[in-house]
Amino acid sequence: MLPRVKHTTIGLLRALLALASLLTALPAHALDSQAIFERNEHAVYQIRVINRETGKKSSIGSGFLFERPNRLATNYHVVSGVIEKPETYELRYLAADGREGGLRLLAVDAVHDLALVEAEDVLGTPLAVAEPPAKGASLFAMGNPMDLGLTVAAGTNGGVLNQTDASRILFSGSLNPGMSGGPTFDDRGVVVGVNVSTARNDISFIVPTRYLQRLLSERKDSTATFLDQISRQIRAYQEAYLDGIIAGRWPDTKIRQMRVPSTVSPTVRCWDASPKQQEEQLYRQLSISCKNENDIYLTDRLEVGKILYEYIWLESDQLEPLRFYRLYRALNSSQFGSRASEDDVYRFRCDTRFIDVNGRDFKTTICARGYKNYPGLSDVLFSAAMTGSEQTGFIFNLDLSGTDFTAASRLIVRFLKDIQWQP
Amino acid sequence: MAALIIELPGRGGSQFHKIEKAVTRVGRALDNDIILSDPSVSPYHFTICRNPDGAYELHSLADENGLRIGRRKVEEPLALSRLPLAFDAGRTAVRILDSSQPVPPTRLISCQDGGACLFGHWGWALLLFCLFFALSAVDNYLSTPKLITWESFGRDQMNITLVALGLSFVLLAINRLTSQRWDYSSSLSFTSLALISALLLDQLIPFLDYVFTSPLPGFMIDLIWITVLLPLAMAWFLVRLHHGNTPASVFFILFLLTPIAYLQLKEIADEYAFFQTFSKKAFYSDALYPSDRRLSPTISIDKFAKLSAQRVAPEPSGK
Repeated sequence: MLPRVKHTTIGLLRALLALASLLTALPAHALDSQAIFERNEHAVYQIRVINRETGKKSSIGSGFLFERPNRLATNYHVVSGVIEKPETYELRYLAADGREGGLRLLAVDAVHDLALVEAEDVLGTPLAVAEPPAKGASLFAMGNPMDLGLTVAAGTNGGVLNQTDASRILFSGSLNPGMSGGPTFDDRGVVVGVNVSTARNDISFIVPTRYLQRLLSERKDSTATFLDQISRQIRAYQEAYLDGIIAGRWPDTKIRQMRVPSTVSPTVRCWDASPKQQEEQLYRQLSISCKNENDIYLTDRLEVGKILYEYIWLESDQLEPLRFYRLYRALNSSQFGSRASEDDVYRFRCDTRFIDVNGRDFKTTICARGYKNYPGLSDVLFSAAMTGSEQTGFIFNLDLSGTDFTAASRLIVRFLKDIQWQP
Repeated sequence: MAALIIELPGRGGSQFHKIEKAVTRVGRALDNDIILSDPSVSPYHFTICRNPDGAYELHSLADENGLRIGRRKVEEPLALSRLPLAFDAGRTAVRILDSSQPVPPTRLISCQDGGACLFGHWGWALLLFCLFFALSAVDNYLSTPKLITWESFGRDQMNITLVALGLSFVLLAINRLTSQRWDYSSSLSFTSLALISALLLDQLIPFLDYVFTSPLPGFMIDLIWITVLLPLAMAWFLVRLHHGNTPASVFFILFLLTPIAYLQLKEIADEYAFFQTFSKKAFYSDALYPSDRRLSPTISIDKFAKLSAQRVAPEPSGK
């Protein structure tokens, strides 16, 4: 018992000490970017992916001391090259004062784009972390943009993005390549997020630190590879995400005589995608295109978690059936948009059948291709075209990237059951 | 011994000369009995002499390029006892034949006695070309889902007509080279029929795709048409109909159709990624057809989900 009591007591003392040090370290007034830079310069590092054969850096990112004096937090996408090809690449850090050394990968969270790495040497004092401040508050992102040296970029908290299931915060500062994995501070100098990506024009995104704390408890079991662990993480996330969508109440919309699901999740945005009507055109085409913003980085060629669906309505009272169907057939050729190569995925396997969708016949195709390095993940393409009407056509296409096939299949069934012909 | 015949190559086929004199001299000089224009032939190149006993001998007179049977040079008089005899005088191929030698059976001319004659009759040629023109106009109309002006329609039709006429002239030229005959009406008929069949296949293939819910039947027909039916039809046209030289006809068929077949096959192979282990494209039956005739039944959504999971769900390894 004694050791346990002793352990608990020491733990309590440590926690109180940490809290005391945090409170004493926190300034009474808001800091400006210069002060934040000067206070934290020592704890932000450049993380380099080095090609073992040339000894030169292949890509760079940033990282900061977190939890332990030799542990750095960064983004998964900064270190993913080492996970994909450990025989080719290795990780190293470079401090602002020129010190450098090797790093070992400790844990990854591909879904939230986070990773922990550890150095053999003591690097410095870990930074304190906290929840992000209120929307509109000042934020300061530190990192190594374009390998030009450590810098700080000021901006404001744009709030939680509900398109990304609350795992991203909008940051109105300028993040540039090389700053990924660096810390984002509030005006007290406390880390509230991790720099992750940018859509340019000062639209940048950070990951809240709560996911970093969760990562501490999520260690890989010794027999599994990081690739297995990443597959499991993404499958679990995708399954929960898709099941959440399937169980939800879907608002619907009408596209001429077809009632269809609209924004099936807060993470989805729908847009009108109808082509401009030309004067000499003898048909009418209406389109709605919807997609989520859940791009989860897996490798430089694979982004998973995408849901993209579209409805195309085609009608004409001036085109004869054969002429109408030439056009209809040309529109019915959905293909999966992706940069995946032969190294990443297998070939698509497809199945085409005629099904009854609420009283109307549809020619439907489902295709799937598995991921070679991430078992259980696949790209799914679904296409359905209404048949039996001579001058009216309706096409529904749905693409899901890096998903669990069974969950994708459940989502497709829900879509089909919600599509209603309304004469 | 029966009279001898000398066979010499001519522009429109072989030339035959009967040897009637006791001494027949052949060469490039204008006072020879048989005059050759080949510059590799000597002015007085060889003679064929009849002996008092009626037997014939070949004598070389040329010092420059001489006579050769295969690789052997003929320098001594050669008795013409075994005929036919083939030899080269310079670069001119000469054959000595026995006039009693049998000739191949007569080839019959098709469409005699006023019967239907698709090839070789201007009426049929024009009719087939008009049919092709009408079908291409229908195809042009069907593939244009907007108001058609006479100007755009006429331009498209002009282009396709020029392509068809160009192909018929190519076939005419090949026919001339293989059979030494100019016969444009039959070339026009054949080209029109080939293009009509291509247009009909264009209609048939998506229909079959829809009926069978699979692109494979249409693909097989397309493949057989370009690699088997079209070459066989062309071979029939050149060799059987026009009695053209068989090796030359085969050469031209391969010369003309191999690139076309290659491009067509490459397009199909790329479309369906047959010869690749990997393709970014998903290969499936996407044809739609107004008359909803098909062999595949309509099933429920749940049954579709169950069947498709068995067919396409990746294995645990990802494959």
